[in-house]
Amino acid sequence: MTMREFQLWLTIRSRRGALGCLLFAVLALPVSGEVRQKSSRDFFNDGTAQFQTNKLREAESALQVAVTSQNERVQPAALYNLGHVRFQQGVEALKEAPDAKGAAARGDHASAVADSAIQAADAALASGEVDAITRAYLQGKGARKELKAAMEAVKKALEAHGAVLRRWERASGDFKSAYELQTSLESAKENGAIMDRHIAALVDKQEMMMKSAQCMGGKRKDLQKRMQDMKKKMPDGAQKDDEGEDEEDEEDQKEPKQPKSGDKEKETKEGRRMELTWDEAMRLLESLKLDANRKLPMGDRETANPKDRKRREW
Amino acid sequence: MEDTAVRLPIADCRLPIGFRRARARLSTVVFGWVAVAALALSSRASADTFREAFDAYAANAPEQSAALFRELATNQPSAGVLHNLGNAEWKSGQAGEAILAWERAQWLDPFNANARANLRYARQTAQLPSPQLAWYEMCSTWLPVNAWAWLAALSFWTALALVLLPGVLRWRKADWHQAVAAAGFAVFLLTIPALLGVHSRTKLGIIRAKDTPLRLTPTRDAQTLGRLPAGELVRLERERGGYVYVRGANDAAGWVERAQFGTISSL
Repeated sequence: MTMREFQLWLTIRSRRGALGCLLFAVLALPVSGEVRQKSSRDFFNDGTAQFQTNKLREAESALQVAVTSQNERVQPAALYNLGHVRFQQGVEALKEAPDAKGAAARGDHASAVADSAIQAADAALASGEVDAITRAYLQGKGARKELKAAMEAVKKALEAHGAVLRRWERASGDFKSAYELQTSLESAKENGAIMDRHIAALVDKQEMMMKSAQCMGGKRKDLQKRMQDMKKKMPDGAQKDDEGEDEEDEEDQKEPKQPKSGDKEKETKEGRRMELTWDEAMRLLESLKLDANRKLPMGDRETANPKDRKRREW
Repeated sequence: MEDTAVRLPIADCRLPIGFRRARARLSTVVFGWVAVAALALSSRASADTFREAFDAYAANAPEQSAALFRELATNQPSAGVLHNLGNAEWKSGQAGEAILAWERAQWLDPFNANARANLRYARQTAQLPSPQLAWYEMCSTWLPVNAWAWLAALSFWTALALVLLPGVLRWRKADWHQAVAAAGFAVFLLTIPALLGVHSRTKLGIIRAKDTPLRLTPTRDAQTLGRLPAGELVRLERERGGYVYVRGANDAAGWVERAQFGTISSL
């Protein structure tokens, strides 16, 4: 190869190399674009878009990732939007939750019914007439059922309101944090204050329901005591009829068993040291292998035969 | 005192040159004596404080003892004082503070076997994971921090001197010059990972308070991601305001209040 030929070969090779590099770059560009990881800004934009379409759960997770990325530029705005998302989640949950006022009113009504049943029971016990006692007992049973249903309703409402309260407390924290990180976000401060007012109103409702529940609990105990007194004075036949319902009611009131102060755990037995031969040890280890050598069928045709052929095939 | 200080230059200008030199010498001597006396007084005061702290520890008053040892450690930090501070803090129920003090004692003196044993015991008792260090961080614990810096500087300058000086001073070239220079460079290269480890270990810190909340954001009303036990070793990653971003052993990261965290290297 002459010098001229070598130069020509080198030029062609370098051109080929350059072409190859260019082709590789063109092919690799979209691939690298797809592989590129989402930035905190992308997550923030995603979350905001999801929030605008009312997809609250998706919005919350995307914004949470944006906040977790610790990007100082994105974090305050992401927290602000996260506060909005969580407030909205609370509003949605509150819509589905039982009405607090309704639950409290139902509780008050049940308490009033229980009151009249207690009065009737007192009067019947004072008179000592079997018919009056039976009537008062039946009235008490109805009142007890109503109390139970009302208490369940109040309990459910309390749980639902508790979940909303947790959401709103977090939303308030998010707004306040957003303001703390970026004091120019005045609306975050205002939203935090608004959230606090909403929380205060919700806590008032919860307290109202809790008072109602406490009142119902007291009435239920009084009624239960009087019904037990009346039951003792009722004929045997009537007592047997009511046993099932009474047991059910007693089960609700039963507290879980607590260990007594003197109770001790049983002493564990110490095992004896045994001398094993090599064969015995191997046999013992083999017996401990749980289906270690069993192979599962790999193909779809290779299925195990059913043991009971009488049954239907699914 | 202020009055005298203002008048002195005026009086000084009127004095003859010889007298001024003599006065300068005298003032240097006086200054030296005052400095020595102050040092002696301060060391005596330190000895008294140490005795008080020791007596308080012996009299089963660990809180008082810890306060005195803390004062001593702030003024004159040493491995012994920090070890004793750790003991007093442990006795007063401050596991986080105790572990921090022992870690600091180890930072100053990695050969302190008592501090190492106490750290192992405290971590076992508090069910804390033992620290996971990188290999170069482990290397850096073999010698005190200052020793690595001295070793690196000495080896580097010795090697450089033996490469350059024979040429500059026109000495006759000898094999041992090259051998020592090569050894010096080798030692210098070997100290680099250790120096890197020392630098990396300056980011390590201890959680001081019990159940320290790990926050999502560096704010007062932040979402709490979890809680860190007192004495857990964490790595400082960044700082913002009154909060530091730390990463724990199980890769749990978040913000904690600056007051609830102490770096091992800051004495």
